[in-house]
Amino acid sequence: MKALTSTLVVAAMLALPAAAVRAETDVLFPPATAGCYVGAEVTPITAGVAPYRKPAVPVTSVRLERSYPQLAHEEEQPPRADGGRMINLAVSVTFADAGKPGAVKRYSSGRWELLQCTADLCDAGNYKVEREAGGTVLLRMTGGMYVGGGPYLETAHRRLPDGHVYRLVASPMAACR
Amino acid sequence: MSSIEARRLLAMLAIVAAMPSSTSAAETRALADALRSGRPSCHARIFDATELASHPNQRVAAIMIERTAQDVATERKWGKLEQFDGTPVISATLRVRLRGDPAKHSARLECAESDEGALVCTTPACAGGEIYLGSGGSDAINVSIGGTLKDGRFIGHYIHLDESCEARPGGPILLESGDGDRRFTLTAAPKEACR
Repeated sequence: MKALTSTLVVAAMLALPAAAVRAETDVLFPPATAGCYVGAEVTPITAGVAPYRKPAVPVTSVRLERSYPQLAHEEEQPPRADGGRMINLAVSVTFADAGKPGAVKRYSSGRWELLQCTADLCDAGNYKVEREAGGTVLLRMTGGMYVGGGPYLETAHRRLPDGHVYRLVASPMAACR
Repeated sequence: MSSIEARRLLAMLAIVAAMPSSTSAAETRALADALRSGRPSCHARIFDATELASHPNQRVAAIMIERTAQDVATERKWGKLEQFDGTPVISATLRVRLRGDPAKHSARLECAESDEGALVCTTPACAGGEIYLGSGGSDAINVSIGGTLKDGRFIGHYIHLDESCEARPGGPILLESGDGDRRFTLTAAPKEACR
C-alpha cells in the first residue's frame, strides 16, 4: 500500500509541471510569450457598419504582433489589484492603396495601449481580440481605432470604424515583420 | 536687508535655479555625449573577414549610424514642439551591409527617449520594428536589436532596411537579431565611414 501511495505521489508530482505549462499556454496571448497573427477583414456585408472614410480605402491585411517591445512593456506594469492580466499588442494595418507612390505602407496602433485578458478574450475598450477554435482570432472593433503611419511631423491617420471584424491566423513571427 | 527683500531675493534665486538653460535639456538627453545636440555625427562598426569568420551566425558585415546637418535641423525642429512621450529627439540614417550582399541597405530613423535612458528608434517607412541605442562608453553607442526579459530569455526583434515594407517580392530586407546580430558597439568615426 505504501509503495502504491509513493508511486501515486511521484506520478502526481511529475504531472504537476505539465499541467502548469498547459494552464499557462492554454490562454489567449500567454504570459511572456511572443506571438504573431496575420489576417484580413471578415466584416459581414449585411452588418450595416460604417464604411472606411477619408479616404474610402479598404484594409487588405492586419497583423497582431507581440514581440520584444510589447513583452518588455508588459513587464513594467505593476500587478493589478483585481488580478487582471494585462497585455500589450502592436496592431499594424495595410490599406489597399499602400502600393501607390508616396503612400504610407503600413499603419500602426498606439504604442502603449493595454488590453485586459481572460483566457479567451482580450479587451482594449475600443477593440477586442477573441479566441476561436483552430488557432484563429477575431479582431473586433468595439468603438473603432485610429492607426497612424509616416514621419513624425507628417503622420497620417486612418480609422478602423466600429463594427469592423478581422479574422487572423496564428503565424510564425516572420509573418509580422 | 529687510526680511521682505530677503524673501523676494530667495524667491528670485529659486525661480532662476528652476529655469532650464538652453543647453541643460540637451545635456540630460540620452546619449548626449555621443550624439551631441547641434552637431552631425557618424558611428560605425565594420567587420573584417577574420571577425566574420569567427562569428558564423552574424549576418551584419558593417553597420553605421549617421546624423547629417539635415538631421540636426530636424532635431532642432522637433525640439521646438511640445514634448510628449515618444516625441523623437534624434534623427539619423541607419546603414547596414549584410554578409554576402554587396549592397548597402538603409533606413531613416526617428529616435525617442525611453524610460531606461536609452533611445528607441523606429523607421517611419514601415511601422513595427525598432532598435535601441544605448551608451557604449566614451563616444561609442551600442545598437541593440531585441532584448532580454526579466526571466533571462532573449526575445528577438528587427527593423526594416528598405522602404518597400511588405511590398517587396521575396520579402522585406530586415536587420534581425537572429543568433548573431543582437548587439553592436559603434565607435565615433569620420563622416566618410558612414557613406
